[in-house]
Order: sequence, then C-alpha cells, then structure tokens
Amino acid sequence: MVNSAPFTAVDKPVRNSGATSLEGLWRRMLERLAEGVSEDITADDASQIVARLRPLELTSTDLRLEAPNQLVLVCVTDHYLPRLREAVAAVVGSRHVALELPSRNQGELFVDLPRRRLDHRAAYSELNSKYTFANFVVGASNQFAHAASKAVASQPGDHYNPLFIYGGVGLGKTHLANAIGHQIQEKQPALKIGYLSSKTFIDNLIGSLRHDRMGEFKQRFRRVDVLILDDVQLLAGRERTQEEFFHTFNTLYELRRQMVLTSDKVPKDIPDLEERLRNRFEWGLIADIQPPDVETRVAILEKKADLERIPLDHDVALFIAGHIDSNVRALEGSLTRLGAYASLHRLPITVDLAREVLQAGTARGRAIGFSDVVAAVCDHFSVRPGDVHSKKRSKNIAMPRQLAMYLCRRLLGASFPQVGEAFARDHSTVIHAVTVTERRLKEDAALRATVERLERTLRGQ
Amino acid sequence: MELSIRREDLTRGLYLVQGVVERRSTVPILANVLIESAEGGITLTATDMEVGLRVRTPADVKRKGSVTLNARKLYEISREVTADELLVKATAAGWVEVHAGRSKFKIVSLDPKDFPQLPLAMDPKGGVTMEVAAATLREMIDKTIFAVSTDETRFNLSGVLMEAGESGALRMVATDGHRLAKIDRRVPGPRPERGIIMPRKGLVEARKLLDEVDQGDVTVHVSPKDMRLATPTVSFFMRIVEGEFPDYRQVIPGSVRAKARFNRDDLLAALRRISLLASERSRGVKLHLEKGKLEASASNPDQGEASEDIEISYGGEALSVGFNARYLIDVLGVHAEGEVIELGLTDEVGPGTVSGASDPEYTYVVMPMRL
Repeated sequence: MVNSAPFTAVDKPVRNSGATSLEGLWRRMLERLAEGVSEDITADDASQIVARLRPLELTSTDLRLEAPNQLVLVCVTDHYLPRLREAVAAVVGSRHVALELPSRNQGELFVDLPRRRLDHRAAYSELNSKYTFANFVVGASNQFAHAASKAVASQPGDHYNPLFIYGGVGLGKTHLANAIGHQIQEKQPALKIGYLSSKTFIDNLIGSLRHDRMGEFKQRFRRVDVLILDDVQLLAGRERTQEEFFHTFNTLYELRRQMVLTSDKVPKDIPDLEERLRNRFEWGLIADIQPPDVETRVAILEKKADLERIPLDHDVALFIAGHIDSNVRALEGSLTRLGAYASLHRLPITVDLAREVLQAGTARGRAIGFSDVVAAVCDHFSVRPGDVHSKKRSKNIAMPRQLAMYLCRRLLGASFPQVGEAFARDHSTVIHAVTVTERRLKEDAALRATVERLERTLRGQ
Repeated sequence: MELSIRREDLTRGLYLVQGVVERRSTVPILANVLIESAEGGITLTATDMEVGLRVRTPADVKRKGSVTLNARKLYEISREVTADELLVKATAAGWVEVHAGRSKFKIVSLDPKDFPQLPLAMDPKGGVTMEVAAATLREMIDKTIFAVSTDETRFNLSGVLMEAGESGALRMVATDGHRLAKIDRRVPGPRPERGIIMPRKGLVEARKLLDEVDQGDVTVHVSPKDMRLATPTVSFFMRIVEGEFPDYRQVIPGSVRAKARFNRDDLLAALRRISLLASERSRGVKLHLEKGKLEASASNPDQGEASEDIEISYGGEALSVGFNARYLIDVLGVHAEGEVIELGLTDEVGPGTVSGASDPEYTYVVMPMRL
C-alpha cells in the first residue's frame, strides 16, 4: 500500500539526490498551482513560467527554487509568488519560498553545448479554420462589430485602424478576428497576416529577451501586412511588453498596415495600460459585441448543430437558448455536451434530455423545470398538482394554475405552446393566463410579494 | 465484462499505472485505465503516449470483455473500500458497476476501441533484447538520474544515455552540463547499436517497476524509437528523447593532479553541516586539501561561516577548490555507506572526479565553482 507520507513531518531536508521525491513534490505543487488558477493567472502561465523553476531543496522552513535566469526570477517574483506560496503550502505546508539564480561562477563541463532555440514555437498561430464569416451568426447584439470587421477585411488598412473589438468572454471576438484574417487571406493572398494572442506576443518577447534576440523579434512583428492581436487586455501591467508593442504599433500604423485588436474591456477600462497605448487603441474604431438575444442564441445553436451534425429540434434549441443567456461559448458547450451525452447513451435529443444534461452541468444550483414551478406554486396555495393539471375551473385552482403558467414563461423562458403542452392546454389559454396574471400583479401588492418569494425560491437564492 | 478481483491485486496494479496516466490531458481516454480480460486474469493498461505500461494481475473473469475507467477514481475507490474482493461488471451502454462489500459505484466507461495501441510487444525484429538483473538496472538508474538536466532548453540532456561501453559493458551516462555521472555494468547479451536517451519521467516510472522485481531479471528491448521493459507481470515502454547526447568522453579527465581518499560518510555528513552556511544562491563550499586533512568551509556574507575538517589519506601539495555542495552531496548520497571514496582534483577551474575506490566503473565528474 502506498500512502502519501505526511511531508510536513519531514525533518531531514528533501533533496534531489538519488530518489526523486523532491521532483515529485514539485510536480504536485505545479499541478496544484494549475488547478487554482484564477483570472489573472492561466494554467499556461503557470506551466510555462513557474515550471521553469527547479526545486533545489526542501527543509522544514524553506523551499529553495532555482530560476534559469534573471527574467524568470523577476517574472515569478512579480506575478506568481503569492500563488506559488499557496500551492507550496497546500502540498508540504507553509514554507519560505526562496528563489535563486544558478551561480555564474559554476564551471561548465562542455565548451559549447547546444540549446534548443526557443523560437521553435511559431511566432504566429494558425488562423482557426472554424472561425469564418460564413459561420458567424449575426444578430442585433453583434451586427456593428460584424459590419466593421467585414469592412476591414475587404480593405485592410484603409478604413478603421486599428479595429478594436471588445466584448465579454465567449461572445465571438476571436471568431471575428479570425474571420477577418481568413477573408484577407482569401482575397489578397499576397498579404502577410500575423495572427496571435497577446499571450504568445508576451512569450515571444520573453524568449527574445532571454536569448538576446530583440532584433529578430522586432523584425518578425514589424514585417506583417495585417496584425491581429487577440486579448490585448493581457498586456495590462506588463510594462516591457507594452513598451515593445507601442513601437510595433507605431511602425505598422505609419506603414498603413491593418491592425485588429480584441479585448474583453474597452481601452479606458484596461487597468495598468500606458496612456499612450490606450490612446492609440482609441484612434481607430471601437466596436462592441453584446450578449446575444434569444433569437440569435437559437440561430447560433442551430448553426452549430448543423456544423457538428447534431440532430437538434427547434424546441430543444429554444429550451437551451432560454436557459443559457450569457455567453456563446457556454451555449455551444452545452450543445456539445448534450450531443456527446446523447450519442454515448444512444438517446434521441429531446427537451427532457436537454434539461437533464443541462442540470447536471450547472455548477450553481440546478436548472428548474415545469414540475418545479408547479410544485412551488401548489405548495404555496395548498392545492394538489393534480388539480392544477386538471380541467377544474374553480377560482381557488384556476388562479394558482394561471400563476404557474406565468412563472413558467418568466423563469423557464418557455414559449406559449410549450407551457400549453406542459399544462395540457391550448396556447391561447396560456396567453390569457399570463395577461390575467400580469394585470393582477399590477393591482395586488400581496400577490406581487408572493410571486417575488416564489421566484427567489425557485431560482435557489 | 464481469470479474471479481482481490482488492490488494487491483490496488497494486492501479498504483503502478497512476504515474503514467495523463491527468489533465486534452484526450479524455488517456485519463483512463484500459481493463481487459486475459489469460488467468486481467491486464491494466495506461499511457500518456510518451510512457505506457500494462500490468497483468490475477482475477476471476466471469465474462470476457474490456472497459476503460478513470484510473485515478478507480484507484481511490480501491484504496477507500474495505472489502477484500471487488466485483467489476460492465452494464449496458458504457456503464460499469463496481461492487465492494456494501458499496456500489456506477462509473462511465469510454469505448475501449478508442484506447491507443501501445508498442509493448517484446518484438525480436529490429533493435536488441537483453536480460538484465533488476538490481543492476536499479543501481545504474539511481547512480545517474540525479545528474539529468532539468533545463528544458537542453533537451538532449533531459534523459539518461544508455549505450555500449568500450569493454562491452552496458553503460548509462547523465549530465546537466556542470557534472556528469557515468556507470558501466557487465550484463550478458547484446548491446544497443546506437545509444538512446531515456527521458527522466520514463525512468522514474521504470524505476518503480524494478522495485517490484527485487532479485529477478527483467527483459529490456531497445529500438531506435523506444525502450521497452518487461518484468514477469508488467510490460512497459517509453519513447526516447530525440537528440544527440554530447560527446561526454572528452570531458572525463584522463588524469588529475591530486588524489585523496576518505570515508564517504565523513565527507557527506560534513558537507551537509557546512553547507547550512553556504550562500543560498550558489551553495558553494570550499575544499582545502593538505597532508592527511581535508577542510570543508563555507561562508555567507549575510549569515556567517562554518568549517569542519576530516581525516583523509593524502600526501600531495596543499590545494583549494570550490564546489557546489549539492553536486557533491548528490553523488556521495548514492555511494554505499562506509565506502572509501577517491576524490580527484585538478585546480580551481579544472574538473574534479569522485569515485568509489573499489568501483572504478562508476565515474563522476564535477566542475568547480569560483568562490
């Protein structure tokens, strides 16, 4: 049997001698760090930068780590030290984390040992072939950004420079940025397009600094005809990178080369962004993408289902669109999950299945269904669910029934026919029920309070 | 598939595969262990595509078949339950039930057809196959792996070189550019035609398997693409590191200026104590040799200084050389207790050597540090 020993009880220093126990602990700390990532640290950051450290020694008070060079040491100290301390504490208990450089006085065995050039990583990413204008669903929420992108793609460098697209997570910024790249590539194959995320830009800069190849770096980024930089908000607080990007920006701007920038914030809201850079971001056109309305969400789902060959009925699309209202990525994610679940279990995709799968996927509270609404209403008015579904028309049953229909519309985003189906009524009956209830609510403050309470209960607040 | 298995057998098998499964892979099935019915029991297979292994373990198979289950979850289940016997049963549509005493688990299985094929066969075609005592391999790994480089830009140093030594021995070499460990051991059978670099992770896992074999032999197969290892119950492979190992022969000094002998335990203990006051950054300690005496000392402008002398056998001129204490502690740590160590020194910038007086086949070269 193997049990992880209580390492906090270690009194002998753990070293990398023979046994690789310290390496093992260090790997667990890195895993821990990657698990606990937050918005300001991504798993990639953690694995790429912090993993460059090498554990030297663990004592009852200290963990000594060696950084391969000054840059990594400064970077870790500035950005990752608190998180690293937490990860260390979680694995071996609280320790003083000491970073050190390899000593320059250390003699080398080999005169000239080859190092792998770090620029084996391409400076630019491939455009994602899935993201084209053809499969971008246009709705009221994104039509401005879409039109601006189209304009830029047809005449790069002429119209809006830079084009700054901003919007929340998963609303399609990257999609539009890629689509611009694709269209330019198609129409004007001679133009050199550089597409990359700000993260890659930062990594490249770090790599170039550490290998003393800044000349190459400048060349690489100032030789493109179109520069598409994703997630510029990641430049926040990175002075050296901002400085370098500022010069890149100026060079490209003077040469009338198109730049497309995406961000999850408008320039003025990006924290720790140099004023001169903020200014330049605002020189061109700023286009926003808002969360999609329900029609657009349905259209997005149906397009995605078509692309992924997931058989999706309109009522299921409506159901999903009604439940996930924020973010296109979450919307598409739910569809993928639903598709995978259905194919794994060989089940047809129905509204019931969608409800089941989406509920399983909702982290905070589960999604509510018709039966939940009916149960809550019946509970409050002390009637039986059977009565609500029955044909009885006495006032003490009709009123809760109408209220339940109203709540189903409001909370589940269900359509009139859907509610009708759930209550075995015609959709016009539902329309009437909703109208009546709305009128009652206007007049009756006690009822308003009741409804608010019911909504809170049902939303699990 | 349906089978019952002793908890002890399942736990052992799953323990061996844990180090190999990819926990945060983008390919979900790589987080799973493939369970297949086999002659007299089952096999458990796991891989991260760089390293992979298959464990055979006895089980009572009632219905043949195969499933893949999350390796980590199954291991945790196997460790948590108290029943001596577990019942594993595939039910309809990708579900597997595990019964243990009064506990019942229902787990999703991914399609075994999607599990990658692994190069685990001890294929006699291509490459060479050797029978090596597990104890010998263990020793060779332990005496080299600590010198492997962890600098990712030095990819060709990120593993241990295995090749044929000059006198027909099997040889392993590791270096991080500051020190180098080389060991030759006589084992019967053919030798790899070309040296291969075995990655650290693969060796760490291989080392775990070798512990299980104790005194027996294992079969090692070396091809230009991978290194495979078979114990009586486990088949294992690792992809080798692509790259050229540097010419290590040129950095092993033919002769050194001064040679001193002492008890391994004396210097190891002294270095551990003295290095407490070595500078945090360099871990530098100074070794001063004079007739019959070696003085180890360290100083740290922030904290103070320390020194200690030990008795040695040395008759040459006085000489002082600085070293990273860790590099010396590492190698002394893998020498046997009480061993007589021969330390060879050149000068303040020339290479030093550490070897056991009774074992000229294990060489360690370490570059000094200017203090």
